[in-house]
Order: sequence, then C-alpha cells, then structure tokens
Amino acid sequence: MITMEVGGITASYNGVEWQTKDTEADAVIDMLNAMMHEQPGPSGADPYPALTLAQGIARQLHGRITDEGKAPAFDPKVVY
Amino acid sequence: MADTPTNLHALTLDAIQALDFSRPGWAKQMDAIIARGHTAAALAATADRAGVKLDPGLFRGLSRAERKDIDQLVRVQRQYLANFVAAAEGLSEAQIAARAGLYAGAVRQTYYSQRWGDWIIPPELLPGNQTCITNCKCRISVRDNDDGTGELTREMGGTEDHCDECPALVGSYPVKRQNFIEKDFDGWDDSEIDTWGDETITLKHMPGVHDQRSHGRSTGRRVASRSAYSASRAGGASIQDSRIAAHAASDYLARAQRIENIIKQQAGHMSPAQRRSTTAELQRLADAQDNYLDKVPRHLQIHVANAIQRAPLSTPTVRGRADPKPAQAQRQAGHSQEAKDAHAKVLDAENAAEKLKEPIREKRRALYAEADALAEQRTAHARERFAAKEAGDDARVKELDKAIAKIDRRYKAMTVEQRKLSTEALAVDDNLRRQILQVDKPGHVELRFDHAITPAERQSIGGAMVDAMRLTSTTGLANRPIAIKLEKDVRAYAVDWGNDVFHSGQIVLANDAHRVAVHELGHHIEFRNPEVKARAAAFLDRRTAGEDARPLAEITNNSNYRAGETAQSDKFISPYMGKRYANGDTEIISMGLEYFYSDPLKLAKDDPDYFMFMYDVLRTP
Repeated sequence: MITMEVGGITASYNGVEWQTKDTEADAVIDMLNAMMHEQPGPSGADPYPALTLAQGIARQLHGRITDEGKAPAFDPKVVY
Repeated sequence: MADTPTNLHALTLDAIQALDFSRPGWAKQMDAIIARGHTAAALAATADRAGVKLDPGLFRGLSRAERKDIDQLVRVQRQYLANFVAAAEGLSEAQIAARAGLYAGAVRQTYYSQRWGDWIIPPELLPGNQTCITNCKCRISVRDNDDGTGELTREMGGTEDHCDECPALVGSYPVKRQNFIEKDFDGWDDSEIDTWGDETITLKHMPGVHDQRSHGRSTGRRVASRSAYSASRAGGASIQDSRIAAHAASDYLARAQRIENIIKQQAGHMSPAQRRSTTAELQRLADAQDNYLDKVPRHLQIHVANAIQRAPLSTPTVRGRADPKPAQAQRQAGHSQEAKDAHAKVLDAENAAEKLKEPIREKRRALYAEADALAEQRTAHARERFAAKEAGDDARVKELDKAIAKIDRRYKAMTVEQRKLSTEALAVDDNLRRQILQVDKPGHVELRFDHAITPAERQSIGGAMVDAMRLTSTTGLANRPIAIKLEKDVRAYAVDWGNDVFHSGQIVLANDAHRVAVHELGHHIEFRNPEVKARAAAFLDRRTAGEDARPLAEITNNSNYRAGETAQSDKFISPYMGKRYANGDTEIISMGLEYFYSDPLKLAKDDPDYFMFMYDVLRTP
C-alpha cells in the first residue's frame, strides 16, 4: 500500500482509491483521487503505475511518499 | 478412436443412463440431455462437413434459415420424448430406463442428416431409417467428385446387431449436391467475381443453401479469400493453386459462421452448465478434425491459415478493394506516401495545438500553485489545531476548524476545475486525431466486461478503446470478443487465449486509465493479425539491429522492472518500445497505439519513422 503525507494528513492508496483515517479530510482525498485518474494517465509501459502517479501528485502538492508499497506481481507468461 | 457419431451416441447414452428414473423431474433432465445431444450432433456434423475444427472462431454468424433447421431438429426429438413421457406412467423403472436409452441412438441420425446435408441423399440410405431405427450403427460417407456429383458409401460397423435391411444396403451409390450450379467461368456475373490486383478470382455463389452473401455476411470471406489468394500468388503459387487457397479460406469462414450461430441459437435453450458441457463435448470431438486445409497444397496452407485468422466473421468492417500492394513490397519501399503526408500534417498542426493547449497549461499551473499553497496552509492549521486541542483552547480549535473547512471547500472546487482542464486538453488531441489519424473504415472490437466492472468504468474503458479503434482498420479483432477485467493492485496486462471458445483473450486493468487500456488493446491487435505482428517484428529488428538488449531496470533506473525484462532501447521515446518477449511478441504496436491515441504530436516530432510505420501498419486490414 502506497502511503503519502500531504496537506497535514496521511493518505493511503489501496489499489483503487486514496483513503485516510482523518474523517475531516474528504476534500483532500477527492483531490488526490481526481489527480490519480487525471487523463491521459500513466503509460502501459509503467511497471508500477500507481506509484508513478502518486509520486507525481506528491511533487505537485509538495507532499511526500512515506511508503512505496509493493510493486504489482509479475507474470512472465503475459505481455504488459 | 471411435468416429464422431459413435462418440456423440456414447456421450448422450451415458448422460441418460445416469438419470434416476425413480425421481420426479427425470423427464425434464432427459429433455435437456436430448436437446444438448442433438445440438452437439448438428454442430459436430456441420464442422465435419466444413472440415473445420470446433475452435473459438466458429461461434458467430448464421442465417435464420439454418438456425431454424437446427431448432426444428431438436423440436422433433422433444416431441418424441414428450410422447414417451406421457406413455411412461404404466412402465416400470427398468422399462423406462431401457426405452430411454434408445433415444441416445437418434443423435446418429441427426449427425448424418447434417453431415451430408449438402447432398441429395435417398432417405432409405440414411442410418436410422431402417427397421433397427436408433440401434442402427451403420455409417455413410460421400466422396466429392468436384463436379456436383459424388459417391455415397454405406458401411456396417463390425459389432452391431444389425437388422435384416442393413446388409442389403451396404455399397456405393451415385449422389448429387443440393442446389449445385453448373456454370462456365465466363457465364458468371460481376457479383460472383472478385478481383485482386490484376488477377481475377471467383467465389462460388450458391443461392439459397448456405447463401451468406444474401445475408450481408460475405465480407469476412471476401477478405480472407483475397488475402489467401494474394499471399499465395505473392509466394509464387500458380493461379489454380491460389484459387484453391482462396476457396478454402472462404469455405472455412462460411461454415464457421454457421456453426457459431447454431451454438448461439441453441444456447438459449440451455443452462450455463449445459452450455459448458456441450462446448466441452464439441471440443473433444473437434480434436481429431483439424483437416480443413487438407485440400490446399502444403506450401500454401500458412497463407490460408493467416487469412482465416485475420478475417472478420460477422461484422462487415472492410469494403471494396484492399490495398493491392503486397505487404512485402510495401515494407521494402519504406513508408507510404499517405503516412508521409499525415506526418507533415501533424507537424503543421502542432503549432495550432500548442496554442490551444497553452492556456490550459497556464490554468493548470495556477491551479497547482494554489493547491500547493493551500496544502502548506492546511498543514500549518492542522498542526496548530493539534497543539490547541492539547492545550484545551477550544475557541482556537473551532477557529482553525473553520479555516480548514474553507480550504477543503476550495479543494473541492479545484477538483472540478482540474477535471475540466483535463477534458479540454484531451479535446485538443481528440480533434487532432479525428482530423488526421482516423481511418475511413474503423476496425471493430467486441468487449466483454467482467460483471464486477461498473457501468461508469465500462463507459470509460470502452470509450477509450472505441476511440483507439478509429485509428486502425484492422479486422483481426472482429472474430471473438476480448474479456475485460479489473483487478486491484495489478500491473495491466494482455493475454492471448489462442483457441478459447468464447474469447480471443483477456485484458486485465487496475483501473480505467485510458492510455493503459489502449496500450493493452494494441497487444491484441498484434495477437490477432499475423501481418501486423510480422511487420512489428521487422520494424523492431530494423531499428535495433546490432544493439544488445539491456535490463529495463538499468536503462530506466526504475527498479520495479523485473530481472527478465530487457529491451533494445534504440532511440525510441520510451525504452519500453524496444522490449521483446520470448514468444516473439513486441511492444511496438501497443506503445505506438498508445502514443497515437494519447500524444501523436510527440511521436510525430520525436520519432517520425515510428509515426509513419504506425500510420501504415494500423491500416493493415
């Protein structure tokens, strides 16, 4: 799970969306999720697109990635 | 190995014998078994008649008349069963079981009537029409004389208890084809003749029976026929041999279309479990039937197989004459003039697009700067609030809560602005694509979404893929749908399922990110179109000749690439474009399509050779 500190809150990306335990930080989370899905988004070439996007968001909002989580599993039998 | 009707008989009999006739509901179960057995018999017979394997390519297209035929067959058998059930009340379980078993033999009749349905066969010669009825295990076959006549041979199996009639029927009989039209080549009208380059080929057209043209479904056959013919001729084959190849491809597809639709039609009568079971039975039977290429000279078989794989089965997407240039000649000649023109147009449009995008970028920069400032403020407020709360200063906490809420409201408004700017930026690229890169006759792709995917996600993913398909006229994706699935925390990937019955393959995505979805679609274009695949490999070879492959993790300084992922990075925009897979797959089409879709300007400007290659290769039918 990717974790980021931004705007005074700690947010985590669960593979689908950003979440936080801070119940008053919905707006920040909305913003993070909107930016995460900003089009055209990551390239299909990216081995860990969620992290690339999170890093981009952290750069733009002066946040910081505190935990990069784990890269998605790799299957040599498929094409990426 | 037992022949097809014997296998069908055995499978149906096994299923009937497994029924418990002491329990209510056996009649319903038997009805399903009968429907499935006869459907399987009709389909297997049609596949045998076509000389095709019951593979995934067989499940589309069929005239209503043919569906009706199969329906009628099953309906008649169900009526027999209904009569039997009505009469079964006074019978013991053993008697019911014995009589029920006889129904299994009827699938042989269904099989033979469909297997040789192209021929006028005297009813008395069809197995099952003798006094031994469903016990009859005689076989018939027809040898085609290729002139509208044939020789029917009736044989007896070695072990059956035959009736008195069967031995007398053993022998050979002259038979004729149904609706055969005997015409000299010169007597054919224009609608029956297709041309390729300076050669003329003929497509035998038999109105009425198996008439795909009259149902508007001939496109796939014509594409395959032309493709097989031209590839054979380009390979040095004689006109006669090339025509045989063309006919084989056309014939395969015509029959494949019928089988697919038979299954579609009958699937409505079956439960999902029965559909799976029927399909499995058909596939088992099909294992020994991969002989549709038998009549084609060995050295031309690859051209027929390629043409069949490329052809659309049911969706007309390519009309008129295909590009008469053989692909090999086009490769040697470099990029087409159209590709060069498109490249010039894109570069010309660059300034206009940049001008349109600049205000968007400006707004976005301002938005991010504000978000940045707000983030700092919010952080400060949050820290101060924590301290105030610790100190018990409730008034200050309340004040800071208000300030934080105000920032959050602004964040919400900014989210809307952010989405709007993204849409505007996309619209600029969309316009560019529409103006220059879109093809006149887009290819067709059918997507099957996993049930867990929401309607909004379907619209998003499907919309991106449909937009991407407007950039290519490839027809290879029309045969079978692609299964789309979302998985949490996954690195998006594509899989070719080869001969899967229902789907050509799968795309698994982590979310509805458009570029990624289009990228994976590019893999499927390469999977399904051998010509595209060959050209992609040749392009990669040319661009990376003499260059060693290096780990992507090293080239990109991204440790998330795995040890086995290597690439010859050439001077590609992304080193990933130079990645090769062990089975020969590449990233050329997937990355090229992704850039054509998301940032054609960048590709045109930074790698004109790649841009022009993609422009041409995406127009491969």
